[in-house]
Amino acid sequence: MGSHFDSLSKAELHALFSEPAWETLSFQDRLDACQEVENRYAAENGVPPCTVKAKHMQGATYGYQYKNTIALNRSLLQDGTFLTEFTDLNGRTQRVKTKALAPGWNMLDTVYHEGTHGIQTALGRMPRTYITPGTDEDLYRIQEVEKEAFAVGQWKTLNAISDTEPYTRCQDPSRSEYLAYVKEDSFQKALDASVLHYNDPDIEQTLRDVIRDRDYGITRFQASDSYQAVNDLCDRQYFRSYEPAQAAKTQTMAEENDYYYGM
Amino acid sequence: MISISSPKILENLYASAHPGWTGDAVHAAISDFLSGCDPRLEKTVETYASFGVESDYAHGEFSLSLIRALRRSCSFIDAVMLMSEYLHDPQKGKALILRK
Repeated sequence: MGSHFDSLSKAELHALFSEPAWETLSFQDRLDACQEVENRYAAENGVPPCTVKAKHMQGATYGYQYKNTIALNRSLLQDGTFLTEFTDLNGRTQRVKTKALAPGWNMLDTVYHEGTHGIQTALGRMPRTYITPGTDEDLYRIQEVEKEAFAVGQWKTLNAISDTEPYTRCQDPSRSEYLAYVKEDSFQKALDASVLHYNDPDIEQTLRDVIRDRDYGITRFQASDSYQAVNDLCDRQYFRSYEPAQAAKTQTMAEENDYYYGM
Repeated sequence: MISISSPKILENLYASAHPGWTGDAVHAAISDFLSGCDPRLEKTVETYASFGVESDYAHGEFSLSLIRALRRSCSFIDAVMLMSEYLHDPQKGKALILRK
């Protein structure tokens, strides 16, 4: 899993994800740059690196991690778009490409995010109970493993953007797009929404309790309303532990036939 | 702001898409949505609330059908909410539609 970018400094490697550099890289170079980031991140954390692959994905899916693999959206990597296939109201199949915001920086964010799931998996910190984005987008965002993965992805990418300005020698036009995304995808927004939706000021702890109890087979009597509501949601969703081919995720993920953690 | 004839039905439809949420949360979400919704979506929302018919609406690079497909088959009203944000502020709306 070596790459021809292994001699670059960290800032030089990150600079490949800035718009001026990203636009000039071939598909294979982009994939190699992602692999090099994952190699270094895994090594820093003392775990084996995941293999980075490109896969066809549906809709606004950036990537996911399963076993020792990080899968990245092939279309996003190839030309910075999300390829979406859907049936319109007239029954016609539509294939639409939507330009992503800051594709290079979002790819770097995704590698760190999914690399964090790789570390969580390697260190045995990944719970069996997992809230998918299709079940509740805000609960998905605030669950512990995603909270950490989002924080790492965003924090490392924001640092990379600052560090690489001397290398890109100009203000990166995709910088403001990435900042706009980060602003709208914040942990605090998802937490505030969840507090309101479940009428529970301590919803983060409640969610943690539900996940832990389910993993250990603990049944609570006289659980709070919010605990019960979250637990019922978990009952309704397809569990990766019982049904890996989750309906909420793409066919590609289903083909992997194993656990995955995605965004 | 938009005004529709059957906001309670809209609440019921929205509640079924978010089964874990409290009734108050659903009520607040629909009230906020109706008071802030772009008027260009009024007919779409009225048709849905009155007849349960999901009609499409397109603007710029997005349509309601595309938003639903991008957002992992989100509910119709959630897609309308995102479209309304996009109509008000294209950059913020797009960031929300393409949220991870």
